[in-house]
Amino acid sequence: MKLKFNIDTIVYAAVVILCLAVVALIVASRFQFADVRPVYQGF
Amino acid sequence: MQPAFSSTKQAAAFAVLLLVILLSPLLVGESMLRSREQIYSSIPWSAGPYPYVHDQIFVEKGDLDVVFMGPSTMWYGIDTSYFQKKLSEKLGRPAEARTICWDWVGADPFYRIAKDLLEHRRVHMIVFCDVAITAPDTAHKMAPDLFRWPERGEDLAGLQPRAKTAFYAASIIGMPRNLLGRVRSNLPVTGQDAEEISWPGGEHIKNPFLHLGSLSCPMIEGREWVKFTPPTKPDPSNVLVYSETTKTNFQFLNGAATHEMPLQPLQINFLKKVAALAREHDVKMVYLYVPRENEAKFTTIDPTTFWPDIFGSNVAMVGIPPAKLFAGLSDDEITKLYWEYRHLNDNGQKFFTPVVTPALVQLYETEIQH
Repeated sequence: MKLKFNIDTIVYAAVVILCLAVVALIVASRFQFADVRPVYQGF
Repeated sequence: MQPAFSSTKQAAAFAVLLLVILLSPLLVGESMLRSREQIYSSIPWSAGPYPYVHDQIFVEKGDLDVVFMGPSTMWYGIDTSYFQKKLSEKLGRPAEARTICWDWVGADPFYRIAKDLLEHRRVHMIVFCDVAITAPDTAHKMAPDLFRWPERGEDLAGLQPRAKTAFYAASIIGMPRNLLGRVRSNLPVTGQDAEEISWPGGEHIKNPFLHLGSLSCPMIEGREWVKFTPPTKPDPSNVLVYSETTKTNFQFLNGAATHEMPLQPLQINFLKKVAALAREHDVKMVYLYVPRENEAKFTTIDPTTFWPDIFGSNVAMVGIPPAKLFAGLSDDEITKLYWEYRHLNDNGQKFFTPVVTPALVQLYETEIQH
């Protein structure tokens, strides 16, 4: 299949890349502050 | 299946939105962020004692003799009013002692809160506990509030790339609040005079504002609260200050059962920054061993680390072997001194504070007064 590089392809590729960037940021930062459970008082 | 976007324009708008969010720490300068005072006044009791921390850093003035700092272990562990009374008696003048803590273990809040505190008030002695016991190698839960990307130069120096990434992510999370805080001010902190404070999961707690910052917790995990005063009082002379003659009573990195892992690189980095702050502001550091319930049979004092490795000669290490602290008490009686195994409750605070106070007062007198 031949991939046609039109504006749609570029936009959707950008969306996919940026979403992957968000996931990479979450994984790389070991996101303990994204813990959304009710605030537990203490440690 | 419905497509994710109804048009290419919509997909492009979403991509731009993601890009702006991801780059926001780089796009937004310090002048567009709220002041650090607004940070502390925005955090509720449910996330830690920040209303009191705000008061101590930005509202109250004057020198502080002794500040107890640490995660909730310290917040729950010390009866600051008792300590202040004893220090005043010893010094022959009104002494000023406070407890300024945070929730959840971590050295980065220790650095950030100490930095803000020392930039506003003169502190002579900081007493801290094992602030980073079991803390992971990543930014603290409160990093989205306490850390801002424009301050990264000083704060993140020497950190590994992955740790820096965590703080970058934290600054994205904190961005909306930071921007909002610049647009409008928080309502002033209220309730300083109230007898009690409450938050979800912590109802009818004595207001730390009325107890020099300390939290006395009337709870015992898994059973009904009961007031309990142990029949025997430990001898304060069993409290030891680390030295050549007492070092056999200390063990470092010993308790595999309680210290699940050694201090992580990020935690060591921030502890060294606290050490630099202490030197810069001429603050004497004192490590206080606050034993956990599962250490009650330990015959030695077991800090998480050998603190002079971090603070050099500017630290004293103080503690009492738990076996001597709890001598003569049954397991059931020891349980009555804890809310849960890491936190002393109101019974435990009143039991523990008088034991360690004479040694801390003595240290203040020898290290600060003379």
